[in-house]
Amino acid sequence: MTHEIYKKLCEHMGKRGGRYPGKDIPEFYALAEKLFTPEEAEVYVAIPKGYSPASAIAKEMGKDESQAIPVLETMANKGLCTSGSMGGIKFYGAPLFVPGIFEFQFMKGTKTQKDKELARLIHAYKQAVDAGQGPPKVTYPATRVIPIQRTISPENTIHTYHQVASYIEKYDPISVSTCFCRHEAKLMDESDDCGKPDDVCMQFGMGAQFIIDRKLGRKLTKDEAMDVLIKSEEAGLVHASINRQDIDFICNCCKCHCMIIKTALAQDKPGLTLNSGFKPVWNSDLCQACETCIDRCPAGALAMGSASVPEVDLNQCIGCGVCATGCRMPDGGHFTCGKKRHSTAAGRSKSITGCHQGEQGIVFYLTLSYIIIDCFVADAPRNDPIDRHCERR
Amino acid sequence: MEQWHKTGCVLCAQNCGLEILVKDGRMTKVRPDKDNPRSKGYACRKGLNVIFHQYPKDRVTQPLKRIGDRFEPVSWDQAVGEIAAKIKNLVGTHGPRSIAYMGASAQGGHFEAAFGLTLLRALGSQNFYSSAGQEFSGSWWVLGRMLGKQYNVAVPDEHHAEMLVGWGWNGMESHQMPRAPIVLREFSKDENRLLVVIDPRKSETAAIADIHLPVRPGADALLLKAMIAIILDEGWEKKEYLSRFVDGFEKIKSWFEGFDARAAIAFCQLDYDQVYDLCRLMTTRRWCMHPDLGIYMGWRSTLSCYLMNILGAVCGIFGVRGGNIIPGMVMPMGFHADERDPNVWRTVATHMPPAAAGSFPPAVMPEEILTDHPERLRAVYVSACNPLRAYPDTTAYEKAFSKLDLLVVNEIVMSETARLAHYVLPCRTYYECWDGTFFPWTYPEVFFQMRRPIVKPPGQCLEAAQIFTLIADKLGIIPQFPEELKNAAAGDRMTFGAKLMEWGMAAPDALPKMPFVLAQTLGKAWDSANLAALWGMMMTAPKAFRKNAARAGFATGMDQGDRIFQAILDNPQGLWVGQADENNPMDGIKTPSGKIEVYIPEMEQEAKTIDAATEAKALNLPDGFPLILNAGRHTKYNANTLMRNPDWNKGKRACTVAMNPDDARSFKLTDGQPVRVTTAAGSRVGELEVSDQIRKGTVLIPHGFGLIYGDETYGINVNYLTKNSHRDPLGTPIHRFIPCRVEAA
Repeated sequence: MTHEIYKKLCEHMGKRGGRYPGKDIPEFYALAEKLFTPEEAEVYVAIPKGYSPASAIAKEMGKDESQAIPVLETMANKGLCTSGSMGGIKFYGAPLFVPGIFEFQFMKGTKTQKDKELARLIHAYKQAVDAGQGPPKVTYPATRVIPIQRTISPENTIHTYHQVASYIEKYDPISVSTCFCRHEAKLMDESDDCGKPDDVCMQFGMGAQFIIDRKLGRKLTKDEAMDVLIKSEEAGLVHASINRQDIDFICNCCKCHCMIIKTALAQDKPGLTLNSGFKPVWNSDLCQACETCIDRCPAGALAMGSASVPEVDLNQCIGCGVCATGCRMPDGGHFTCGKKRHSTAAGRSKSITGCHQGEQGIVFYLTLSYIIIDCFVADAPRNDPIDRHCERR
Repeated sequence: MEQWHKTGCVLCAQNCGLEILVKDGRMTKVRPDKDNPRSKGYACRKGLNVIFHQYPKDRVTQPLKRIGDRFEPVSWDQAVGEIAAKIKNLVGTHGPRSIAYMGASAQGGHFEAAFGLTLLRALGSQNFYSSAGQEFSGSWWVLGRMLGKQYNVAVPDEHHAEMLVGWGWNGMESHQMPRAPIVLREFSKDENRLLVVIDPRKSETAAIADIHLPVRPGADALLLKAMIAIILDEGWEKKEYLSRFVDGFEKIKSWFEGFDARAAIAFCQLDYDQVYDLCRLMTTRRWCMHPDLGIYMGWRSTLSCYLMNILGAVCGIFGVRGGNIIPGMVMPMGFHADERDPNVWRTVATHMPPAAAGSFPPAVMPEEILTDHPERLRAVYVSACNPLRAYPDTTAYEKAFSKLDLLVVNEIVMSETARLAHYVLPCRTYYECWDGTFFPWTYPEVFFQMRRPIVKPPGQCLEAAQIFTLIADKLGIIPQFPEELKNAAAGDRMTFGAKLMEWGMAAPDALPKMPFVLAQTLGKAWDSANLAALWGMMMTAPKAFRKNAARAGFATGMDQGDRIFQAILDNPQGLWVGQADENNPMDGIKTPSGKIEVYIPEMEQEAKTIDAATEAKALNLPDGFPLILNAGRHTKYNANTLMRNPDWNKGKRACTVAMNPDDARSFKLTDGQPVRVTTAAGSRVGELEVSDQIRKGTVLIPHGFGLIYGDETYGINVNYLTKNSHRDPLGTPIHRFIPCRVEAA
């Protein structure tokens, strides 16, 4: 009987998909049994798609609401379901493994024996899934890179879509939690530490409220949130988020541990999979060839060119701007907005495309003294998957 | 608690301005300082990574004494007492020739030199060895004869030049000029100005040059002779300039008559027309030259330097705006040591003169120790340099240093040299003390920056100058001075100055030991012998400096020096302390005739006879050594031996054995594979880099690697491959032309 419910959980999660869906392999069951009690597994399977009140979930199970609520509450505290309130009614949802349950497990940043055991089981499961299906082929970017906030000055005419800083203004509440990717690595092996800051995973709006309510992270003031962004930039972390206009999280990712960046960098041409729509351009009169940008580039997209000015490989570049924020020349870190101009696409490869909703044919030209962050060519072929995505939206 | 401090880079002689963030007593961030008037916001990756230099493993924090094969911490009192007793004993038994000082070679601080030299002289010795002798023995000797003083280095006035000629110089990587990459790129891009590079290989600088002459390795002197011959043959020489400013031209003219320039240029593997055109440009454009180690450490170093200066004289570039001018100086980079003066020593075994402005070439030191001459070197005091990696033939040095009765090393870290010492004395780093350098790079402005301590020294570290003062005191060298002088040091500087002068007039013998007196008075009050010495230098500066300072706005007067000193303190980013007289750019020439003296009798024979046939014979590679090693490639990834932590180059191919693709193919070698490089001096294994930048037939290895860091050693110490006897007649090692072979390892 016990096994039956986990089998059911596996099938259910399998149908829901995601990077790591339910797979009928021993590693799934080892993990699922550690995460879910049989009762919780039963509740999880009963949660309809989207958000539902406890009554609806109880009904699905043929049980009473009062029986379901304590289980749902415990699950929410454990990060096995999500919850939020609207109009005084509490709703619950069933998150995927990734993004969702896995991340919630390590957001608190605790290092208990159970955390370590979970890290091991999650890792084993991910490995087994990856071994079975191979590294994911990204045909449609589910995530995107947001250029660092200083790349765009407040008075510019660029769509707020790209303004990380503007998200800070837009959303309330905002929370921060431990980077689950780096924390998971440290739970597995204490010495697996890249030295990047851990408390930089940000959530916005309803998602943030859930994190705060369930004590998976802490609430941030707007100023504190800006400090987290600045700290991340200084450390050379990439701001990454969901590829849609409204976001609910910003991951500040390192190349060595973070799933979003690692997945992208494992592709043949990560620059086509995950990018911000911007590219670096150096001012060769001012660049001092100190190679700080080359050292910082998480994608390994930069190399010193023959004229002692760095050159970018756009197949590799994700447009994160970590190069630019690291520029150590005087005022190098401060971007000023340049002029808006029409793209002629001259000298740029047509295969390099970016995604700028409603901005086709326009290049945004953001300059700082030393590195210019320039939009990718926008008049891309229509059959390009990234472009299709633009059309759809 | 964090604060940005204005300071400078200590890793190369450009000393670019830096700002460093100190957080909780530790340096955490570095950025270029745009307020530094010389570097103007330029800095390279070395300076931006200087924190790696500041915090190395194996930092020395207390005096160490070698006991058997290990070191034990001892008190300052014990170390200084024992060292002084040994020096006294050696000098007493074997005379002052048994003692040598090897220092004044640091790129970050020159104040140590004032004290090391004062101590050496007080002991009656002239055995001074420095990096100037390592690189410039030939060049400075020639300058001494032609411009009057060995320290009269005529620097390029590039900002007024229409053409910049870099000869054996890869400034894009090695600098040796303020903001070099920026200046070079400006030349390269400007349609009205020309960048000319004469270099066997397509270096980073040659790659952006308007004209690149890929001269055959070792053939520079021959090419220079051919160019002079072409110019004279065509009658293009600047006749009026020659008659007004040059002495002895008639004596040398015939050396170039009837010279087969075509054969010479063919031997140089160059196109005659291209060389001919360059000769025309050199006699019609306002141009300056920037030679570097390709000349200084090349085959026939002294002759090349001599011929290059003759070329400059024939084209009329010395003492002319846009040409090469002797700049104003805060302190000269040494002193004129003319070997024809019977009071000037030569080395006893190798008979070498101190041609590099008083410094002997380090290449001969092993022989000077290992000789059985009764006046051989028995004690060496090494300060702030690392001869076991910086100077030729590490094997010879290891052997020689093991034979010394006394080896004392002033260091911040357990360097390869420190490991062989009897005593290692812990120094403050350049960010823990006051220090500055006197490199003269600019005209007409004269720059100076006194870097201040921005972090606290650990343990018992002292300035090298303070250490020398302790030893001098123990040796009884420092004259007795009245207690009131010491008391006055804590008060007003001018009052102290008056008391010092009063005492000095009565005790003229004290004058040569003045740095020590200052160190024990002002230096005690300020916890800095360096800063005390600076005040002394400013107060007693020579007339030329005072005149320059007056032009820069420091009115003359009794207190001029003190006001300059105060301005230096008030401007931590550095400032223009002087302005040379632009109306008289020939000002610096100090020859007896007052002109550029182009005839050097000792060079006549060699200059006359060199031709394509002599060089074909001389440059013939010995059997078994088909390639030419260039031992000391300048890159962004080396900084002498100052960056010990290899992490500063993490992810870079910092130390490779670089070779041309054609050679790699013919030796059946592939990029990345380990290869063994063998020379007459030794054999070492490194990673092969195959690159188009490398000339066929040559192999390049950077210097500054093979440093022992914790338990690891990164890269090749190229000086295991350089023979100390492979040197120019004046002692400069021929690092740019070392026969070698390369095999799969």
